[in-house]
Amino acid sequence: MTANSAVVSPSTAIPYKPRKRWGEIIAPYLFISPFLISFILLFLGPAVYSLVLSFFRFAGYGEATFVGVQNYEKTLYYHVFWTQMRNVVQYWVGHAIPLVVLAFLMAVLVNARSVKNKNLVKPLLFLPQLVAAVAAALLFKNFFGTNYGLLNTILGQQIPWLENMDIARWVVIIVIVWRGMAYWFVIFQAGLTSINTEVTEAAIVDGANALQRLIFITIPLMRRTFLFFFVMDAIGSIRIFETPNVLGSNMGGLAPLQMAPVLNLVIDNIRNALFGQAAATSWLLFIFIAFISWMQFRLFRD
Amino acid sequence: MTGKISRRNFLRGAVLASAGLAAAACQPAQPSGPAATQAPQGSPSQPKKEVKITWMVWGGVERYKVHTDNWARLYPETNAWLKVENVSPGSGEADSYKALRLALAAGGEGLPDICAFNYNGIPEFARGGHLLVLDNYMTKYQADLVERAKAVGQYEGKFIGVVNQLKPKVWFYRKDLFDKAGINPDTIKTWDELMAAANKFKEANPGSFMFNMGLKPAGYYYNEMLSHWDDSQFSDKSGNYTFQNNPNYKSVFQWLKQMGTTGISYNTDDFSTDWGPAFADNKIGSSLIAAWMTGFLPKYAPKQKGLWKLTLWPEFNRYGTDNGGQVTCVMKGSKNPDAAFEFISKMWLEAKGALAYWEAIGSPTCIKSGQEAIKAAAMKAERPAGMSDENWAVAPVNFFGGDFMDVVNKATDYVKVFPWSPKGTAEMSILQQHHQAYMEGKETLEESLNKAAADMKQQIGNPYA
Repeated sequence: MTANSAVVSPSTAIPYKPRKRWGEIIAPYLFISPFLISFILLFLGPAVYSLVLSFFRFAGYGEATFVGVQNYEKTLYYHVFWTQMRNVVQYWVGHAIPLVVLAFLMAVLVNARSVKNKNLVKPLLFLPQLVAAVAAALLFKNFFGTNYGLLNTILGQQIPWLENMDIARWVVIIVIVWRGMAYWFVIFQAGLTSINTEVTEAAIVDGANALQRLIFITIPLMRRTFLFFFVMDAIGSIRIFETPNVLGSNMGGLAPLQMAPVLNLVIDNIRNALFGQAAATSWLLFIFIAFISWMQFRLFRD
Repeated sequence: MTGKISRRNFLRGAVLASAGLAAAACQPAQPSGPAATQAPQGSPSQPKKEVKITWMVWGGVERYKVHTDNWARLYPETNAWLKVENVSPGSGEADSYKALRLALAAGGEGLPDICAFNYNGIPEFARGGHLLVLDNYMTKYQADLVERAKAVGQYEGKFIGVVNQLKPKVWFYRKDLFDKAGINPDTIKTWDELMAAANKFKEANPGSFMFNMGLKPAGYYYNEMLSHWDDSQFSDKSGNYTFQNNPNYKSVFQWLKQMGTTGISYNTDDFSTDWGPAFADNKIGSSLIAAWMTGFLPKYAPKQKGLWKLTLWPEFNRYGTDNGGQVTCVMKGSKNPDAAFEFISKMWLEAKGALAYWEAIGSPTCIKSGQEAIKAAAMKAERPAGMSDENWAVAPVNFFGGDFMDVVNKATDYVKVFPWSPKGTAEMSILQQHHQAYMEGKETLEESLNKAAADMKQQIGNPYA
């Protein structure tokens, strides 16, 4: 410390408040303006528009007729909405647990010191994610064919994998897990590398075995990664579209009701020029996703 | 400049701007330009100046380039002043309709001059007054039109388009397997006779079935079968749904269930991954379908060349179509309606245009002179110059034999269109949903029809409103 710096004591110092210039004030906003403008134009504007639209009967052109909350009522009283909600909840709940367990264990195993050639293993495990959702579903559609499918040919059976809707929903879950494992494996890998090795080494010194380290050290320290998984995966599952539709339809259309995701109702309404109803369904879906996310944040808070 | 913008003010500005944008977007569309209000009078004239028109199609512009190229080759004089540009907003018809709605919402500026529709898309835009009425233009072509095909180009008695693809009902069958079972398909008149023949077929050809049908019948079965009758509409013009009490619907529901659940059909639905291999594997002996199947069967079972024949559907359900067909309409907002009609009339209302179109995609024509030209070309069954072995193997004239167009032409005499409402696709989708529940045994016949009617009433209301 120099002598000069100690001359003025804090009690006697005159606070210096530099006057901000216009440029300084506007600069941060200019920096964020590309995002802000695109956010307003491409997200906020359309979102507000769709909220307004959800109270109108509108064919996409011509006059819009105000119908109050009728579009919301129509959707909430429509059994198709609830069947499709049940389907997506089954897709979500059915795949989330096996996916998190498998992806996490795969990450832990690959992270183990005993595994050699990690640089080769990691890209190989990531391969399913490189296959587009539609292409993956088409592959599995052939794999699960009733009469000429690969699986039934191997089994020597004629199991109606995609004909019986109760089975078909589980086929959708299998495809989601297959693709999702690759992505979440990488995320969990990243989470594992962020754990301080000193903590695990201390546990080893204290005599903790591999299972104890996994349960009492690794999993608690990965809590935020798990939260990320559950929130993002739930949002993705509820908005699922391609996989059930490609697996369930025969002519490139939409899947039958018993395996259709809830987005099909939005698409159906748009196709039929019922834009108000499509907007109302979308907002109901938004509310559901927001509620699920809020619940998960509360659950993982501590 | 020393003015300050507080964070609050900035956010307030952003919110106001967003609300302004939303409000602007909510404004109802203005009526389209002057061209939209001027219905053309009299016959088309040939402008000297070069005119460019846009033709909206789905499935990519490449698929249609062959037609515009053919047209340019056949009509070099017209092509000298009339240029056609294809636009394709997506892979399916719904994408085209979405693009049209968007263009109409924006005031009609981006509307194409002509647009392809499947017939079920026509009522929405025809009732809205967005399609040009072509009655005046069609006067000189009326005499040459196949009588029953006229309905496919009309809505409520007025010509709104030119039929570019008819989809008459045709029964494809394996002659060798039918002969083995001693069945002559032309003698089958009733549903009961058809079922008896299906059982006989199964006994004579172990491992093969007369039909294929799973629990999710393709959508075209419903409108193919229902369009046989004149009174198959879902509702009256006041929006009262009455179909649930209509015996036609009950028959179709029961027929399809009988086909799918009584063991007379190979258990797979059309266009499933098993469908093609099942044809190749001799599992399927016939298909009650539409003329477009000529484009698929040779590809599914190329080794069965010469074994497949065509005939009309049995008498009990001979009339009808798969959705009428594809219709090309001139949009009311077109800036060049005369040139637009000039193009579509030469393409599909003149024999040489219709023949070129058939050569390109094998689609039957709606004009008598075209039918003759196509029949003559088909009878020759000649391999076009430059066609590869691969393409010739699956060419319908080679696969089915030269006489197949005779049956297709005959089938056009039984064309009838399902009476679609402006919300017809929504109605059909609800009907299909409940029929599947009936097929799976989750709903009874009455329940499925009544629940479908209740859903239509609740979700659609009056489709004509």
